[in-house]
This record gives sequence, structure tokens and C-alpha cells, in this order.
Amino acid sequence: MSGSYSPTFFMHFPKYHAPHLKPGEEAKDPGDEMKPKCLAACSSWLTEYNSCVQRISMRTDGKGDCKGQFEELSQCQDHCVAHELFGHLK
Amino acid sequence: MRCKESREDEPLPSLGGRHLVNQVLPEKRMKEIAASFDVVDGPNDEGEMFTRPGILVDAFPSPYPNEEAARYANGGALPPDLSVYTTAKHEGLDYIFALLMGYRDPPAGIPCRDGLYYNIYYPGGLIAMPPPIHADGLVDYEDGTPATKSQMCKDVVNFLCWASEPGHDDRKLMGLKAMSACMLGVVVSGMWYRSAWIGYKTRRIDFTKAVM
Repeated sequence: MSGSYSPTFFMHFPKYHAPHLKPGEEAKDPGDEMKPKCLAACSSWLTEYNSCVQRISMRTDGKGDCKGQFEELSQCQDHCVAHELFGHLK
Repeated sequence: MRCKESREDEPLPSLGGRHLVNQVLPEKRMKEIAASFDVVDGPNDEGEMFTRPGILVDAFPSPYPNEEAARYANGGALPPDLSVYTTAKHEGLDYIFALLMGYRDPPAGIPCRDGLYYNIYYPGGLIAMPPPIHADGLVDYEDGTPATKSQMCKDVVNFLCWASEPGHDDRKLMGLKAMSACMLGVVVSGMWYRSAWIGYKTRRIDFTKAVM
């Protein structure tokens, strides 16, 4: 038997909160709205990435990339988003 | 979303509109939706294929007529069959959700040639699939839920999870019932055993000379 998901004994399902919209206002993606806040929370990885970009741009042979730093930064950001995101999804 | 190729000679059971009846939509509405698709059927008495409105037992229509068309439309990469993907991959649900949400601009130093996209959750980072959910409002929800990107990704993943095992919840419920019934049976039979044999367990036979 295959497990589609990993159930735990006391499984917690986030409660859905419908967005409070003014008339004529379009609903925004909750994930996109949380990203800037979460980027600030991952500032140490952002510093790492920025310094890597600086290092790369100094090189003249065109070698090297900042993939590792970018992945760390993005995963930190997505972890932060995931904590809140599912409360905004039905 | 890449959909599965459904062919008639396919050994796997194909999902069709009938699986959605009373699970997702009522039967009447599902029949209307099925009838809005044209299905090639046949051959008829004259040996020719004909087109008819779809019915509930038809499989979901395939986005591509054959494998070559699918490859041509996707830059040479064949879209995988996603019908059991959530169970085929470890943590498949989380992986697909992360993949759908993981399209980013490539980081510094990564060249991204034409026809490839950068996705941090794809092994190697470069994926040929264009972002399937690229903007808000690609679908309209009948209940008025805002069709944001995250919402659509969650629904796609939920659907794939259901599609891989439509009987999952029923099976688990039946298992729970069976286990509960067995536990109850053990308790009841234990009590019955004790009460049925209690007379033999507690009796004492004294072999003494009968007093006349």
C-alpha cells in the first residue's frame, strides 16, 4: 500500500479564512503576499546569496553560479510561507 | 496540468466522468459536462467512426491525440501520466505542490536556454514544462472562491491525490469499522468464554466415601 500523504495521530488541518475584500477589489495570491515578509525573515540567506552574486560578477572567466545559495534562500522562504499559506486556501 | 493519455487499449483503469458523480458534482450536472465534449466512437454499421456527445462512462478526454503530438507540443519532452503520480513518488503531494509553486527566475550564473524554465524543486533545476499555473484566474470557481495561484495548485494536487486512489477514504473507513468490530468481538467472546466456563473453572470435586 502506498501512502499518499503522511498522516500523524493528531493531524491539524488549518481552518480556512476567506479574504476580507472591499467591493471591486481583486483577491491577491496569499502566497505572493507573504513572500516579501518571508524574504525578510530569511535575511541571513539573502545576505549569503547577495554576496555570492557579487563574487560571481567579479569573476572574469564566467564560471560559477549561485544555485546553492538560491536554493537555501528559496527553501527558507517557502517554509516560512507554508506555515501560514494553507489557512488562506480552501 | 499535464493530463494522462487515455487510450482504449490501455491496461490501466481510466478515470471518467462517472467517478466524479456524487463525489464532486451531482449526476445531472456531470452528465451535462460530459455531453459538452465530443467523443469519437465507432465503427458503426457502415464501418465508419462517428462523433457523438460524451456520456458518463467515457474516459476523460486526452489533451493530445497521440504521443508524438504530446512530444511536439512540449519541446520533445513527453508529459508523464499523472493519474497515480502522488502515490508513485515519495511525498508525491508535497512534491507536486512545491513543483507547481517553484518556478523562479534563474539565479546568477545559471544559463537558461530557450524552452527551459528554472524550478528550484525540480532535480537539476531546469525543467521543460512551462509553468502550468502561471497566473491568477485561470479557472472560475462556482462557489466564488478566489482563483489564486496557490488555490489552484492546491486543488490540482488534491484532485491528483483523489484520482490516484478514488477508494482511499472508503477503504480506510471500512478498515476502521472492521478493526473496531474485531476488537468488540474479542471482548464479547472473552466475556462469553469466562461466563460459559466459569462453572467448570470454579467447581471442586471431592472424592470421598459416599455417606449413605
